[in-house]
Amino acid sequence: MRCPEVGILRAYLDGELPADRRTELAGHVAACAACAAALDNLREVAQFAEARLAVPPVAFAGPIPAFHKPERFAGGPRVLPVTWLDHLTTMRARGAIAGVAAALLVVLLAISPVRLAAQDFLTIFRVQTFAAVTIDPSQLPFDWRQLDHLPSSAVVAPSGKVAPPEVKEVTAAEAAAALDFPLRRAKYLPASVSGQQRNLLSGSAEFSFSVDRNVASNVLQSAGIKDFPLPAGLDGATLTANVPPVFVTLYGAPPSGPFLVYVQTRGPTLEVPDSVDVDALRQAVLALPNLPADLVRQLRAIKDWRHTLVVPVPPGTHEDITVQGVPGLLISDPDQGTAVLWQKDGIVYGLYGNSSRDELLRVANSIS
Amino acid sequence: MELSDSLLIAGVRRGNDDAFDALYRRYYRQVHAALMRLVGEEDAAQDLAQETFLRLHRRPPGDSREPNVGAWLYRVALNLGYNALREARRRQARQEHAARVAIGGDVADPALATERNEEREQVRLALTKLPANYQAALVLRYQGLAYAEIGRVLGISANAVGTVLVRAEKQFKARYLEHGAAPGGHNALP
Repeated sequence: MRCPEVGILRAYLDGELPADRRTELAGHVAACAACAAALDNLREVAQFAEARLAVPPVAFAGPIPAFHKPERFAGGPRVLPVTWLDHLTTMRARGAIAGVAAALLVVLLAISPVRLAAQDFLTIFRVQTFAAVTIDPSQLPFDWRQLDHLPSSAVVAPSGKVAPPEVKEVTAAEAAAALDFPLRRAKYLPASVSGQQRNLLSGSAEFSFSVDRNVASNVLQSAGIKDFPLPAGLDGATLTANVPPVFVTLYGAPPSGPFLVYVQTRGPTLEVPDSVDVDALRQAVLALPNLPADLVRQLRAIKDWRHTLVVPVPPGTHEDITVQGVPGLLISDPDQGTAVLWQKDGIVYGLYGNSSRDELLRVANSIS
Repeated sequence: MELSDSLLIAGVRRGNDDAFDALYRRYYRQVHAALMRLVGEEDAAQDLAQETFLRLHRRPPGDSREPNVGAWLYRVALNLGYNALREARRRQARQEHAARVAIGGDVADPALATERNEEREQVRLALTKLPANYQAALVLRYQGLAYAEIGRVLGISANAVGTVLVRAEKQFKARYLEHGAAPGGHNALP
């Protein structure tokens, strides 16, 4: 028998191998010095861990506490995520590129500032609908937290200077004058958040980035993805993400008190030159080894993927709903609050707050 | 006569409170123990355990996936624990930053252990420095789960569990031994 992998040796140590394999392996180890040494090594590390981890944590004393039947968001979530609000109010360059579709491309790309060149863009990704994709981070085959450390893009404004999009506090009238779509107000607001209101408007931003095959390869390798087949046309291609102005109305007292965030925007677009075979790219991503089958199934099921903003959510937190007569997405989480997303007449709407699901839907349907 | 998990879970889906209570009592201690390994603090572990069962109550597993209740509960609990720790770390980082939005409220901070056995706390700290799936693999292994069961929670084959454990333990040892050089914060040791 050939020298087994470490996983098998470990299983052997744990008594997890079936009898016949166990005997076979024992015989091999007796004859193979390398494996015997490897086994000793494993045993030592395993004993180190066991000595410390096998100690049970402080034993749970006493009777099992009563289960608190759920009361919808009584008193608000315990821990409020400032991160969503941070992204909205600081509009950091990377945070403004929304959606897993764009995020997956960012993983693949080497990001460097380039001058905008006049190009013929064939494929334009635009948000027309939302799809929630449940992702269990512990199941991903790579360390997804590494994505936080990607090189950040430089934002190239038309004038050629590098600048993040500006966020200003404005009146509703100023915003209406600056935007190219009509602003809609929510007629209904939960009592707990009416009163204080602030309006923020971000400038638009455009990011151009080009792909360098070698750098992309390195980025993928560092995330644990080897031999990813980058489509030929991607090398040297320039992609442009456009984030139009975002108008945000903040009600209530974020983040510690009851609050509601109402977002209106045209939605980001991603322009890809026709030399890039986006279908091939999508197939390559879906074919990544060890992607959870369930995740692949969900992604494949998205028919209109060029116009679908994919929102990653933990399992069990989303609902497909109808809002204002169009399909929308509701995401709720006891810690993070509730969000409702939908697109109507070319405008993306979002509501986010710590009111109940029903309250939020009521607000959403009261918008006109 | 004890009812099987799948019967009980079917009951929960139909809104049967007794079925839910039976599952709650059946799995509470295990879920709590796993969470204690991660967060190390009683209040937080209880809170997160309640959250875990709240999810079971609200959206019980079934349909096409995972009818294995134990595995599902472990997975949810470990994710919640991992997220809570990460959020606490981030909050800590933000609070140390100058111009940030003030975060009000009295929130139990699971990363702050109060009176804990020092050794246990060292172990826990090392554990929480690992990637989520490694943390889960170790917690589950030392909860006494077999490879097949661990595989079910993590969504990998039983054969792959051995490899994950090897890597996880190696990293655990490394993190544990380097703790003396760990960055400061609220967990500074005397």
